[in-house]
Amino acid sequence: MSPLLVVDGLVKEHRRGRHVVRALDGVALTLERGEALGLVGESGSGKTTLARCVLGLTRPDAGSIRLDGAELVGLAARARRPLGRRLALVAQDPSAALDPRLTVRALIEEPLIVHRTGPRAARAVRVFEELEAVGLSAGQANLYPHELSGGQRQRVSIARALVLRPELVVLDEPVSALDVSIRSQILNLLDERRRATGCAYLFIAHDLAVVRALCARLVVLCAGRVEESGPCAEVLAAPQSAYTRELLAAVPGAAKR
Amino acid sequence: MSLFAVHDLAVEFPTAAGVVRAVDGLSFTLEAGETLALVGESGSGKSQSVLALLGLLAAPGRVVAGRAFFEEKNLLRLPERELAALRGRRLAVVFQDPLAALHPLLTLERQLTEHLCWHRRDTRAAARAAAAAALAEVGLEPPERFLAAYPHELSGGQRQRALIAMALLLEPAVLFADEPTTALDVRVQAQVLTLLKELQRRRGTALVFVTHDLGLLPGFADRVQVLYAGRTVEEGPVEAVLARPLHPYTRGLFASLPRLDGPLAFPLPSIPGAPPPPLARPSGCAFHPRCALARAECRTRVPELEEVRGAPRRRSACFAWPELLAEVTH
Repeated sequence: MSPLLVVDGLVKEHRRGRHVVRALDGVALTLERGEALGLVGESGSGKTTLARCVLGLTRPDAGSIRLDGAELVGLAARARRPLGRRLALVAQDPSAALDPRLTVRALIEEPLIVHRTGPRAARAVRVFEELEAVGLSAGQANLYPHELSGGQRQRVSIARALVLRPELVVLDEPVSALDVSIRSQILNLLDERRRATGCAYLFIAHDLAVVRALCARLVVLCAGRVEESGPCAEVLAAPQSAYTRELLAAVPGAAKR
Repeated sequence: MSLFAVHDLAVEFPTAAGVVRAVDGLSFTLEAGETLALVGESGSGKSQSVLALLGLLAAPGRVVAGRAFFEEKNLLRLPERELAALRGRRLAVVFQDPLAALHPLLTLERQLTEHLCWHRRDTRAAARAAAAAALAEVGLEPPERFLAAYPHELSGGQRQRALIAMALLLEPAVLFADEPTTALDVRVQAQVLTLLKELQRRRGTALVFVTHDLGLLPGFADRVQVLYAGRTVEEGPVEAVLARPLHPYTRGLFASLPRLDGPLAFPLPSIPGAPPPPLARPSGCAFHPRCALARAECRTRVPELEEVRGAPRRRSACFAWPELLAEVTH
C-alpha cells in the first residue's frame, strides 16, 4: 500500500517587493497511514508554510503533494472540497480557532453540516460520541468557548478536527499555548485518539521532548530544507546534523535527566 | 538584613463579578547576587506580584496589604515620584514580549540614552558612549550599527538582548525578568539565559526570574517559590525542591514535563483538571480538587506555608509534607 502522504521537491517563495524569501526549498517527506510524524524547526524554518501547503491554504511554487497517490498541487477549489473530510487541522491557540458565538455542540457539529453527513439525529449521536471521546461531558455541550478552560477548549478543537474521521490531522503546536499542568493531559488524549481512530498526525512543534512523547519519527526543518529525518530514538540519541545537535544542546537541563 | 524583602503582599482586582485576589500573601527575601525563581501557571499571580512591587499594576488592580523593603524604604508606600526615581535605576525589569516593550518609531540609541539622561542627567555624548558599551556587552556588535537600528530591524533574540542592555545600563541592584525567553526559539532562549547569568555574575545583580517552566531552573536559579492560585505552595533551594518536591502540585508539575531521555510510557504523568478561575477558587487548599493526596481537612482549612523540619531552608503549604518527605525516592 502506498504511503498516505508523499511530499516531494516542495518550494514556496514569499515575495515582498524585491525581497524574496524561500520559505520551502525542496522539502520531501512521507507519512504512513496511522503514523505520527513530528515536524521540528524554529521560527522561520518553514514548518507552518509546509502545513499550509498540505492543507491547501497556500499554493506552492513547485513540487508535489500526493494524498493516497492523488496529486493535490494545482487542484481546483471545487475538486479540493471533498478533501476537507480527509484532512483536518488542530491549531495552536484554541481561543482564536473557535468561533466565540457557537456552543461546544455547534462547533463540533459544524464540519458534519458543511460536509452533509446525514440527518440531524445521526449528527447529534456523532457529536456526543466525539465529546465523550475527548473527555468532555454532555453537560458541557451547551457552553460557549469563553466558559471553558484552555485545556477544555483544546479538547473541543480536537473533537472538531476528528469528528469527520479524517485520515490526516495537521497539529500546529497544539500544546504550546496551554498551561504546563494541562499539556501532558492533551498529549495523552492525542495519542489515545490516534490509536483509536487510526488517523495519521503531522505534528508541528518546536519542543523536541514533546515530539518524542507523541511521534515515532521526526523531520527537522531548517531554513526551508530538511536537515535530518528518522526515528526519534535514533535522531535524538545520535543526531547527524550539526543543527540538530545545537537544538538538542539548547534544551533546558531538567528535560535531560 | 536582606537586600529586598517582601512580606504578605496581596493584590486585588475589583471586577463586576466580584473581587479577584490575584496575589494572596506573597513573601520572599532576596540577597545580593541571588536568583529567585517565581514559578506558576496562568492565574498564579506571578506577574501581578512583580508589577505590584514596581508600582506598575494596571487599574483597577491595587495592593491591599503587604510591605516591600528595599534600601530601607517600603516600596508599597512610596510616593510615585520616589518610586519612579528607583525604577530603571535601582530596580529594573525585562518583560516577555520585547516588541511590545520597545517603541517602534525610535532607534535603540534614543531608547537607551533617554533612560540615562533622565536618571543620571548624562550629556548626549556620555549617554551614547554608555549605551554603545552596554550593547557590546550583550553581544550586539558592532554597537554603532545597533544604536542606529529600529526594533523591527532586529530579531526576537536581538530585541531581548537590547532590553537586557537597557535594564542593566544603570547597574540596578535587582532585576525582575518576567518570562524573558518565552517568546524565543530554544537556541536563542539558551543564549539569552546564559547572557543573563553572565551579566549577573559580573555585576552581582539580584534576579527575580518569573517563569512557567520548572525545566529552566536547574543551573540557573538558586531558590524557587512555586505559586498556585495566588499563594506560595512551596519554596526552597532549586536542586532540593526538584529532587524531592514537598507539595503535590510541584511534584505533579515536574513529573509532567516531557523528558528527552529515559523510558516513555503512556499515559504520560499528568495533573487532572485545570488551574481554577480566580473567581471560583476552591475552599481550603486551592489545589485539593486536583490532588491525589487530598483529605477532609484540605477542603476546609487553608494550609499555612510552614518550615519543613528536617529539610533546611524549605517551606511547604501542604498538610501532607511529612509523608512526602518520608517517601523513599526510587
